[in-house]
Amino acid sequence: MTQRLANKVAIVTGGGTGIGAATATRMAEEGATVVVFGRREAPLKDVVASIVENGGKADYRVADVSDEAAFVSAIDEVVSDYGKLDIMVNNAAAFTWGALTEMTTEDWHANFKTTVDGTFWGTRRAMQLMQKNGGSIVNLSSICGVFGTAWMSGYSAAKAAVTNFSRAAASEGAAANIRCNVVIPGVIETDATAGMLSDDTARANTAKLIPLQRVGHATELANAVLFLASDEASYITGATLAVDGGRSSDLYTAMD
Amino acid sequence: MKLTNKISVVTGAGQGMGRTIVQHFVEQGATVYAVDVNAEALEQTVKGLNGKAHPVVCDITDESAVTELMSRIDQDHGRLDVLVNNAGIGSVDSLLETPLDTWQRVINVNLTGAFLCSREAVRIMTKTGQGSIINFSSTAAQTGEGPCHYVASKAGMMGLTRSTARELAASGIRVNSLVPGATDTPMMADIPKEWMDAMIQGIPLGRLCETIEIARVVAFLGSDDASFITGQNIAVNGGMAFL
Repeated sequence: MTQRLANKVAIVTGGGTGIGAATATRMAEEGATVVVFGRREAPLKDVVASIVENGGKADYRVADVSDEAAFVSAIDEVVSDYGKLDIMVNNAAAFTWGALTEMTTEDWHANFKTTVDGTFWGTRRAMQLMQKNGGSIVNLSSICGVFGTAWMSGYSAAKAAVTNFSRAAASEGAAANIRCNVVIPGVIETDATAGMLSDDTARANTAKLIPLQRVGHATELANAVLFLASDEASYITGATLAVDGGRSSDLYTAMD
Repeated sequence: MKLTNKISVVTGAGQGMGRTIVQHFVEQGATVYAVDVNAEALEQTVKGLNGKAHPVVCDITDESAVTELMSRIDQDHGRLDVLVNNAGIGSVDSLLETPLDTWQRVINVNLTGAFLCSREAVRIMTKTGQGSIINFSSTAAQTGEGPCHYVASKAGMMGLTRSTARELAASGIRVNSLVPGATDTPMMADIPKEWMDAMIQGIPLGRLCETIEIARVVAFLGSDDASFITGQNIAVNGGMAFL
């Protein structure tokens, strides 16, 4: 076990499952004290238990990132318990599916409340807390934030907002050595994508459009987040890093 | 160690980013073929690396020399895991004062050299069904701030990356562009102080990039940690441009 994040304190929102859980796990393996945030206690407890079982340091807070007061006070609690905040990973997101013509205003706002407002609150509080010693913020966008995606208009719009918000945050944070970067996942195998990958035909069709010809693993995402969070990326800020098997690199035509 | 037993080729290894990449790769467990036209500079690069870095004097614009280098690696190891197309040259010329031979020289080293090294490296990589190629582009390719030959060659690297990433993905070979901003290398030494000060003012992080900060990103892209990343431009520029 190497120690690329030795002595770092990290928060990962949406840390109970999928990419968030994998990121928390990898960060703890590299020596960080990781606090996972989520709405449901049970998965958070499981992630923490598994990290601790493997010799890592982890804790959790039940906090909904779409509730400003609760979210911000949970961040502050981490700082008072662990002394500081070095890494903030804003991974929690909402997702709605359906035709735009049928989409309710509530659904539209739900996307923005969790994904955009939550990322804003997490980034703002982290930047306030990191003013003295610097830090690294990693915000999770999506390939849907690069391309518009049918039936996912709210999600696409919210994820695009995350990307450009993060660039502005990078510009503002740089003077205090606060780096802010964006990871852009393609199709990654998680609970959230289980539906679209549930049968072999759907999986094969998805893979066909990815140059590497397969969907990604949550750990492959986690390794990218870890890299940007670490001091290895000390000159990288305002960058977007796509982890998508080449899906967004160009117009890909699947050929049999 | 991120690159344990990875067989690697780094071009432009005689100075600047290339030299640091070779040293960092060896620290991370790789065996490195350090390629440059300058034998003396290569000796300095590989000094103290305990035989893990092999200096190879080779002009990457010379097709037969590149073929010979890659054949040697194939014979010695039967595999090649990482190719770093870092070699690059540049000079400050206005369009009207750029002679054809200057244009051709820059395009030859910066772009054709990367093409030749990629083609011959991929012959080996396809045998094992895996490999990672890192092409050095430049922020100037996006912003246009630089002489025509250099900017064109570096924009060409982005195209080379996208095309080969797409073509080679099915063979398990990943190709990415590293896009550095202003980095503290000998190539920057001739830039007048006033230009340099103005440049640094335009960098949100408020300083030049150190070569080790580039080397660490190359190591990440070369490693299995980046196994789902291909066809991308990776910006390492202190926030001076958003790609």
